Amino acid sequence: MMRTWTVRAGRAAIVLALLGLVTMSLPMLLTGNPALSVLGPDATPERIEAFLAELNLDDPPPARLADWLAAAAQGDLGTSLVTGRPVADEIARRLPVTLELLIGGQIVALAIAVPLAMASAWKPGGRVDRAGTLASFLLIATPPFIIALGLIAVFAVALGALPATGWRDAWIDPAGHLRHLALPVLATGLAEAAVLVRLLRAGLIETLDQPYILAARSRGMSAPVLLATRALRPSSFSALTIVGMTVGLAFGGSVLIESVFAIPGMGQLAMGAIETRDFPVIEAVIIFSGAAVVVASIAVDLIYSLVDPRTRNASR
Amino acid sequence: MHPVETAAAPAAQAARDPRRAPSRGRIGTALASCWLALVVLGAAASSLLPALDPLRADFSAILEPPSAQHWLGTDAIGRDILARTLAGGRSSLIVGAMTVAFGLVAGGLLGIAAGYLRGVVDGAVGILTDLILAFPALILIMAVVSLSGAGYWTIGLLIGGLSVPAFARLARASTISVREQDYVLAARNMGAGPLRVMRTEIIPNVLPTVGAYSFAAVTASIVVEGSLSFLGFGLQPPLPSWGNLIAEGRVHFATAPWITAAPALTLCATVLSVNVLGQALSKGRP
Amino acid sequence: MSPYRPLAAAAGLAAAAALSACAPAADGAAGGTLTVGLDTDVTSLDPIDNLVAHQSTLIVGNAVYEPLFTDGPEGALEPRLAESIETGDLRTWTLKLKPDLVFSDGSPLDAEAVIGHFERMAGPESTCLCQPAAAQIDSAEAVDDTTVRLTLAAPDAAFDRGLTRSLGMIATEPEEGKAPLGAGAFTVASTDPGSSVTLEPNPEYHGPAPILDRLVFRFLPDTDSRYQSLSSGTVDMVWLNTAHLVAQARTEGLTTAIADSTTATAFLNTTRPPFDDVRVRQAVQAAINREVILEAADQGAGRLSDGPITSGSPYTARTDHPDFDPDRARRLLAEYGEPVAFDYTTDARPQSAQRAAVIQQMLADVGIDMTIDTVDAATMDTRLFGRDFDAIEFFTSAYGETDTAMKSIFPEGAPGNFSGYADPEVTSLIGEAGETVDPEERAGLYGEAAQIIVDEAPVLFYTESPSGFAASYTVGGIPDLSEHNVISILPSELWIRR
Repeated sequence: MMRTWTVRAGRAAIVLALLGLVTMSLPMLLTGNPALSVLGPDATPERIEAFLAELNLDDPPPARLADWLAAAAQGDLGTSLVTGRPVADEIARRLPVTLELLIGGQIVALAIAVPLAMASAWKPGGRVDRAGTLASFLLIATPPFIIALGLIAVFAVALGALPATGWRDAWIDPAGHLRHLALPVLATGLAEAAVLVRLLRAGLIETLDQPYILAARSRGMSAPVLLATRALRPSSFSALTIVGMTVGLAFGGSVLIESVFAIPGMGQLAMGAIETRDFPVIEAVIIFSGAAVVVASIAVDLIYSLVDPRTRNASR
Repeated sequence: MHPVETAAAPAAQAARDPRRAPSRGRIGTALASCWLALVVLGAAASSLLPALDPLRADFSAILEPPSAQHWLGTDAIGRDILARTLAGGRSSLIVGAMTVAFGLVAGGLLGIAAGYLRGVVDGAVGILTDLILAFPALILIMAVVSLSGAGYWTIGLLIGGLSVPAFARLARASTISVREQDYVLAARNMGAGPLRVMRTEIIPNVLPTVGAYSFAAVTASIVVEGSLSFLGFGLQPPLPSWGNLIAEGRVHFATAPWITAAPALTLCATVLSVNVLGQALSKGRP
Repeated sequence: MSPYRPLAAAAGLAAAAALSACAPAADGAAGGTLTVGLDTDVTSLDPIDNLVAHQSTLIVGNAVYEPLFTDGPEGALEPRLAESIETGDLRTWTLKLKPDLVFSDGSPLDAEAVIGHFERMAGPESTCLCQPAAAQIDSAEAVDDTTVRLTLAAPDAAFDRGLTRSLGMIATEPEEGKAPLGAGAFTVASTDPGSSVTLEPNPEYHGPAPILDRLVFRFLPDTDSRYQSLSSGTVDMVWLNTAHLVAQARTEGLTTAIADSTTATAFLNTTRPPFDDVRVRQAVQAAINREVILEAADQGAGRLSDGPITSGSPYTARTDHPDFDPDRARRLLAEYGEPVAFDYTTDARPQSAQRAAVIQQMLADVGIDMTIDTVDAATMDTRLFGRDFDAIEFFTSAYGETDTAMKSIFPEGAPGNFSGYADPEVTSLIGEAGETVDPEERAGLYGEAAQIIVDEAPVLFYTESPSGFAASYTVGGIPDLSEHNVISILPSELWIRR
């Protein structure tokens, strides 16, 4: 057991090191120059050169990574070229926002997907299954920005029930915070749920064919109990895998949701930094979201071994 | 259209009688195949027939609703929506096909190898997938697009490549749960080598799960391409794809909903058809 | 299918709103919070960082600093913190301030403070777009507490226009990590980077106290959800710069402060083939039907742009833009004799993409092969400033100020001359105009230069497009900006019905 997790941690370290190297090569890969957005179009070539020299953008990536890590070890993630504020503060403020959005979205997705998948798998081809299939494929086929704008059109513009955009601090205005959270979380969760339903349903149908389930069924075990206690756990592998991965996607992919709902999270930070080629911010965002993904994938592996003891034995 | 019409009558009957589900399935499959054939034909026709040029705009017919001349209406600069939707199918099919080709084949095989062989292979595959996943997709796409432009192949390969980790992980998870099953152990005890076991025992058992996801992945890739257009990193305009037609059309949704409706409904129908076919195929396996 | 009927209806509603506008204010219904949705994240309130001086964020700078002057109707300068500015030779300028001005901490905003601000903007470390304008001040002298005498290195007719933007937003020297103080009607209560800026009335403000209790600017990056935020009442007022939403706001009868203040243009690179040959530039110009661009990309909102002197410019000189004439284009191309192919660099906004697609087809009709090259904003800037393009779209509000635009875009070697255009006559006409005191005479010189520019086509002028603010019916005090070149609103005049 211990050894498995040591290996896993080693792997995570390699991934992060590679990620760091790629990240530090970005200034060479991306066209566009931060000097223009910071110094303005009238800057003299000498000033631009001096500005770029100070950033060490031309150093080899391993050297830049070493510098970055040395500074980061002291809590210094650099300073935004555009705002002049410490990147660490920016990340500290925005990370919780995106995390909340993401976790909320997963809860919504699971709350929709689990019952629906169970009902669908119990009678494949039945009414619930067909309606659920149609709904989930309509959702999958709808681009997320259309879902988001549609939710705003219904709940904010037509019903006036929820605010269309914006964000409130949870400590200062808890009720407002929840109201502003509702639509973005729903938008994130709905898209997610559609995919989850498909996977869970497939897994459940497979499981329900197993002899031990058929036996329990013939003993007259009621459907909800049977599904929840016997079938759900072994059927949730693929779904769990997807949940683990969307943690990563949400950091890079929450750009759309955050932009439509005007939420000051990591996605928006990343987008703004990319537009201005604010490399200290871009680098910190990539490394932080990368680390989050790696941690999440370890967590998923851990949950695997809890869900299905066979994997635990197998990984000996 | 003929097969669709003849199929309609028994479908109504079957709906009344749930026990006749198999026949309904067949009809569904037939409908789905017809639809997909139409989409492919349409895409082919749009490249061959000059009358269906998706780029040609008629500046005197801007934002026209569906009419005899423009069956599905025209967009903001007077391009025919039908022609654009058909041509959009071509881009979307290419992107979707590349996703499956890349994701299912490369990702699936990597995942099975990792799950079955474990050890160093598992570690290497894990590092590769973790790295792709950990790198924010959008920034990766921007870097590549700014280097090599946003053509069919760049976008297709990028989205396909990004789907590799999902396929690999699903295949790996599924392989791990299968490899200790009695029949796999039995095959191994009978002296079958790892390649043979993977081919005869693992792949058939892993395929349903991974296959189920690949139908979702095709759709997702088509939708992702549209989202990229929304952010400005999709296929270069004026090349049409369903995704960027929807993204472009949303601007006029209040006044000219047909611009969005045609590609959106086509996309939905295609996704449903792909799914119906997928289910039929997985039922048909031994 | 007449687009004018809803417009007329909207005008009627706007008039009704304007009539009802006086009522609550007269009742003394003061107070309330006004929330404005902007497209730009105001991460810095310091004028030196330019973020409070964009078209959409000028309202923030106006609130906190209240510039020396603001843009009035038809290009007039309206004095704000200043009382007047005078010059006899465009080189020595005498700026009079209003008496007894103070910053929001009570410290005096006098001649010395103004000079200090100019010096900070001119400094070598300054990132202000106004830096070149500030740096041309050779000497500044405080004649008395409210009078500053400025001597420029050379005569400059455009100097006073800069006082409506960052250069005129007199600010204190900022403390480390803090925004500087201003003397506007509002002060900064709090900022939430990436989300909002909240302002409160400035008790030290020299004019009548603002009616609002609180003014909140929210950063709403997505254009469509910004509009929906207005429709749903989440915000009270939003910035609009896309033609379809401007059209929608007018149809829905919203109160608007909108002007045709943004010009859609493209730079042609005259330093390399094919656009180093004037015939190719003229052929492209003649092959493009601007009416179609107006209808297709802008849904008919706005008007045609005939040249660098905009329809709302205080200079009455007008240019004759060559007509749409595909046959002339073909003749010119035949004279040129070689096949013409080029890349057209543009960004991914739907409006730009549609404009590019329309142009591509019109050029294909005369045999020019144009490739659309879509890039993101940062790459676009790099290409533009690096002059690494054949043709590049330039969607700008710069032409709202004729003097500044003429001087910075067309003379040989000018900082904004991205075409690499070098016409000695244009250079000398504009140079002469910049030193000409009489506005009529200056207009004549600009007119001559503009005609040459339009005839030789280093820049293509497409359309003047609407942009500005739309507000819900609860907001009052919104000025009619239809005769303006610049969207400049003083929030101290706004109020909200509660």
